[in-house]
Amino acid sequence: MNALPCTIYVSFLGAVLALVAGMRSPGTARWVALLSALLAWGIALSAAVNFVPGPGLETIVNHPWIPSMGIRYHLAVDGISLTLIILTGIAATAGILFSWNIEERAGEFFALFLALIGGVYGVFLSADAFTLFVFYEIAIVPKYFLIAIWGSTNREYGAMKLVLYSFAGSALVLAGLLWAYAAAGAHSFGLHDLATAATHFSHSQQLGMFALVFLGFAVLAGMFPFHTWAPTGHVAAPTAASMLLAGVVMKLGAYGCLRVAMTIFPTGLAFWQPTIACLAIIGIIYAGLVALVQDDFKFVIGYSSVSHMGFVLLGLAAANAQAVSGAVLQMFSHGVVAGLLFAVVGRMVYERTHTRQLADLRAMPLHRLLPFAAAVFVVAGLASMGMPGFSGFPAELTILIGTWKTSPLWATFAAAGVLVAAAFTLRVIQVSFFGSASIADGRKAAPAHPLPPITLAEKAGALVLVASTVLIGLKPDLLLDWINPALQSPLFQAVLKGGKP
Amino acid sequence: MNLEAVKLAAANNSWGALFPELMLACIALALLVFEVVLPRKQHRYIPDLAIIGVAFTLLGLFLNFDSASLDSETFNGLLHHDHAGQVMRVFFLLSALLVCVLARVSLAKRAVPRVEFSHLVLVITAAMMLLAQSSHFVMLFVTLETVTIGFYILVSYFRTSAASLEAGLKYLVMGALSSGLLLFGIVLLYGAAGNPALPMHSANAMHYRDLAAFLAANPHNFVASVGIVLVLAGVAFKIGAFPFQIWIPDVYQGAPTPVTAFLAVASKAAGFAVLLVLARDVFASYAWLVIPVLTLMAGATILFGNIAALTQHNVKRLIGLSGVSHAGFLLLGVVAAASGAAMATGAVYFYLFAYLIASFAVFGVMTHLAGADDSDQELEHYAGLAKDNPFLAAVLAVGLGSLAGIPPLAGFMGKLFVFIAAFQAGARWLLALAAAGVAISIYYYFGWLKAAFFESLAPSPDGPARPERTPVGFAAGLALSVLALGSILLGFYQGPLGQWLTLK
Repeated sequence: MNALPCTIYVSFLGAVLALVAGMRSPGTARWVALLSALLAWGIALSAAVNFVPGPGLETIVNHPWIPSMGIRYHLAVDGISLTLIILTGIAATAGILFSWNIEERAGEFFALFLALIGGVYGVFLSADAFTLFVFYEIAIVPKYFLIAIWGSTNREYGAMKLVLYSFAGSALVLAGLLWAYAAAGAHSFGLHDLATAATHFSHSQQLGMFALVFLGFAVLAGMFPFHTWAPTGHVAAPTAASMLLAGVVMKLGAYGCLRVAMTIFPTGLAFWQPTIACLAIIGIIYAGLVALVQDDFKFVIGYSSVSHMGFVLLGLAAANAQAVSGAVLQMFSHGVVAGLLFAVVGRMVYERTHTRQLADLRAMPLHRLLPFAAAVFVVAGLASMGMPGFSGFPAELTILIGTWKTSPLWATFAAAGVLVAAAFTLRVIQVSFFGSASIADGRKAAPAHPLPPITLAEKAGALVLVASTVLIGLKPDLLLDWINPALQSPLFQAVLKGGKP
Repeated sequence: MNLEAVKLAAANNSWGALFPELMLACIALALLVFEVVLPRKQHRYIPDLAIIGVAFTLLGLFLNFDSASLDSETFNGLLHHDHAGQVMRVFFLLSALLVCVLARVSLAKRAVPRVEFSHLVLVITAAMMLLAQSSHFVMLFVTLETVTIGFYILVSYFRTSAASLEAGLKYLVMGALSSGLLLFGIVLLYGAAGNPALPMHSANAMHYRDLAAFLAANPHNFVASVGIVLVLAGVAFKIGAFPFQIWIPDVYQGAPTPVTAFLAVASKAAGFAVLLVLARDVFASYAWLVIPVLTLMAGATILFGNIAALTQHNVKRLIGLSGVSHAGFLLLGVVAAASGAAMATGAVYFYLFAYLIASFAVFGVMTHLAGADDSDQELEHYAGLAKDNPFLAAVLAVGLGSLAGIPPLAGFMGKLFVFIAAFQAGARWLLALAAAGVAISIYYYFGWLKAAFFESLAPSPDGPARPERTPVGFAAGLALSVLALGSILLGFYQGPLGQWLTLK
C-alpha cells in the first residue's frame, strides 16, 4: 500500500527520462514511456492485491507543505480511488501502445503524456483539497500541448477551447475551496477537516460553495450544457490523448464532484440534487441524439462519451450507496470502453484510411480490410451499449436501480437514454464497418493500396482493454468489493441518503 | 567643511543605515569616472562593473539584513527602516541586477551609450529603495520624482527610434500629470492637517505618523478626503491602475525592452510599496473612503487589463496590459491589507517577488528575440521557437505559466495567498471578478505559448522577415535558468521566503 505514491513519482520521472531519451531516438522514448507506465500500473496492481477494503481513507503520506497555511501533502487511498488508479494504469499503458507510431517529437509527446498521467494519479491519491487541486491543474496543462501539437482536425481551436473550459472550471473550484477554507478559519485544506468545518456553515454558504466546486468539476466531467469542449477536444486530439481525455480526464471531473464537492457540502448536494439530475438526464439523451446524426466517426464517439458521463453524474446525483457505487463502476467501465472506441477510430481506422467521414467509410468494406479492428469495435460497441457480459452492463444497471430508489422518474428517462445509446452505436457499427462497396456513388472507393496490417502494439493495447471490460463485466464484484466498503465511511454516509435531508 | 555636522552624523551613525543606497550612488558615479579615465577600448567592460557592484551591494545587504537601524527613524523622520523596507531593497536590487543583464543583450544591438544606461539604472534603484522606506511626504515626492525623471531618459533611450521618443514624450506628459495630482493631494493633506482650528493639528503634517494621528482625530474631513483621493490617484499612475493605465501600452512598446521590464516590475513594485504603507497605516482612519476607491480600482483594473490584452499582437503591449491585470490582483491584496487581513501584506510581497521572477524570465526571452527595431516584437516572431531554441521556449513557458497562475508555479502561490487574504477581508465580489480575470488571462498567455510551440503561425515568405534571434550568452543564460528554476521551486516550496516575507 505504501508504494502507491510511487505511481506519481514513476510517471513524472518517466516523463523526464522520455524527454531525454527522445533526443536520441523516438524508439527509446517509446520504450521508456511504456516501461514507466507498466511500472506504475504494476505498483498499483500490487497495492491492489494487498488492499484491505474498509471505510474511510487510508493515509499513506502526510507531510506539511505550506505550514503557515495548514496545507499538507496528504495522500490517502480508499476503494474508490484505487479503482480509478487501476483504470489510470490501464489507460496509460494502452494509450502508449496505441501511440507507438508517433515519430514527430516523440520524446516530448511521451513526456507530456506521462506528466498528465502523473497528475491524474496525484488527483486520485490526494486527501488534501489543495494537493488535489494542484495535481488537477498539472493534468490540465499537458492536454493543451498534446492536442495542439499532435492533434488533427481544427486542433488549435479544440485545444484552446478545452483549456479555457478547464481553467474556467478550475477557477470556480478554487474560488469555492478558498471560500470554504476562509470560512472554516483558514486552518486546513484537508478533505476531512473541511467536511467537519462545513457542518457549521450556514445553509446559504453550503449551497454557494457546493455550486462553485461541483460546477467547476462538472465542467470537466462533461455536464450539459458545459460539455461542448469534449467533442471538439476529443476529435482534435491525437488518438492517445483522446483515449486519456475520455478515459481518464473526464473521470477527474466526476471524481472531484464526488470526493470534494459532495462529501464536504452534503447540504449543498441535497439542494442542487434535482438540478444536477435534470442536467445529467438532458446530457444523456441530448448527446446521444446528437451522436446519432454525426457524419464524422470520431464526433460520434465524442458525443457518446458525453452521454455516458451523464450516467455517472446521474448516479452521483441520485446519492444513494447503490447509485454512487454504480457511478464509480461506470467511471471505470467508460474509461476502458471509450479508450477502446477512440483507439479503433483514431489509430486503427483513420491512420489507415485517412478519412473519418462515415459516408466514405461506408464505401469501404472495412470488415474485410480490417477484420481485427471490426471485431474490436463490435466488442467495444456492445460494451458501450451495456450488453451483459461487458463492464457497461453492471455499471449502468446499478446506476439505474439506484436512481430508481431515489426517483423512478429519473430512472425512466435515463433508461430511454440507454435505447438512444444502442441506436447510435449500432448505426455507427453498421455504417462504418459493414457498409458495402456497391453503393459507392463517386465517394472515395476502396483504397487502391491494401491497408497496412494491424501492428502488434495495437493488438496488445486492444487486448488489455477488451480483457478489462470483459473481466469486470463478468465479475463486477472485483471492483464493487472495494467501492462499497469505501462508501460506508462517515463522510459518504452523510451524503448518501438518497436525497432525504 | 562643517566638521561638526559630519561628527554629529558619524556619532548617531544614521548614514550607516543608508549604506546600500550610498553604495549604489558611489558605483553610479564611479561608472562615469571610469568612462572618462579608461581608454575607449575598455569601455565595454564598464556595464559589467555595474552588475558586479549591484551583486556586491545585494550581498552586503544580506549580511546586514537585521541591521541595528531596523525599526528606527533616521534623518529627522524622513526615513523609517523596517523589515518591509529591507525586503523591498532586496527586490529593487534584484530588479536592477536583472535589468543590467538584459541591457547587455539589448543595447548591444544598437549604437547607444551603455555606461550612462547603467548609471541611470543604479540611480533610479537607489531612489526606489529610499522611496520604499520613506515616512515623510517630502521624501516620498523627492524620491518619486528622481525615479520618474530617470525613467524619462531611459524610456526614450533609443533616441533614433521614433517609437522610443514617442514613448518618452507620453511618459513625460503622463508622469508630469500624475506628479501634479500627487503634489496637489499632498498639499491638501498638509493644509488640512496644519489647520490650527482642528484637533491634533501638526506643524510637521507631512510626517506619516503625525498625519495619521490627525486623520484619526478628524475621520471625516472633506479637504483631507480630497487630498487622499488625489494622492491615491497619483500613485495609481505609477502602478498603471485603471483609469490611469492609458499610457501603458504605448510606453511599454516604445521603451527599450530592459526599460520596459524595469518599468513593469520595479516601478510598479515601488508604487505598491508606497500604496501599502499609505492605505494600511497612514490613511487607516479613512478606510471608509480608501477601501471603496481601491476596490473599484482593483475590479476595473483586473477587467480592463485582461480584456484589453486579448486582442494584442505586439508582445510588449501584451505584457504591458497583462501587467495592468497583475496590478489589479495586487490591488486586491492592498484592499485586503487595508481591511486588516492578517496575511495580506506578506501576500502582496510574495506576489511581487513571484511577479519579478516570472516577468524577468519573459522579458529575458523577449530581449533575445527582438531585432534592431526594439518596438517591433510581434507574436508571429515566436513561431518555431520551441524547435530552434528549446531553452528559450522552456523559459518562456515557465515564465508565462507563472504569470498565468498555473499551479504549482510561484505565480499561482502568489495569487493564492492574495486571494486567501481577500477572502479573510470578505471581498467576495472582487474575488469573483478576479477569478474571471484569471480564466480570461489563460487565453492570451496560451496564445503566446501557442505561437512559440506550434509552427502554424509561421510568417508567409513574402511578408516582412522575422528579426534575427540573438544567441543566448553565458550571463543571460545563467540568469534565465535561475529565474525559471526559481519560479518552479518557489511554487513547490516557499518556506524561507514565505516566512521571511511575513516576518514582522
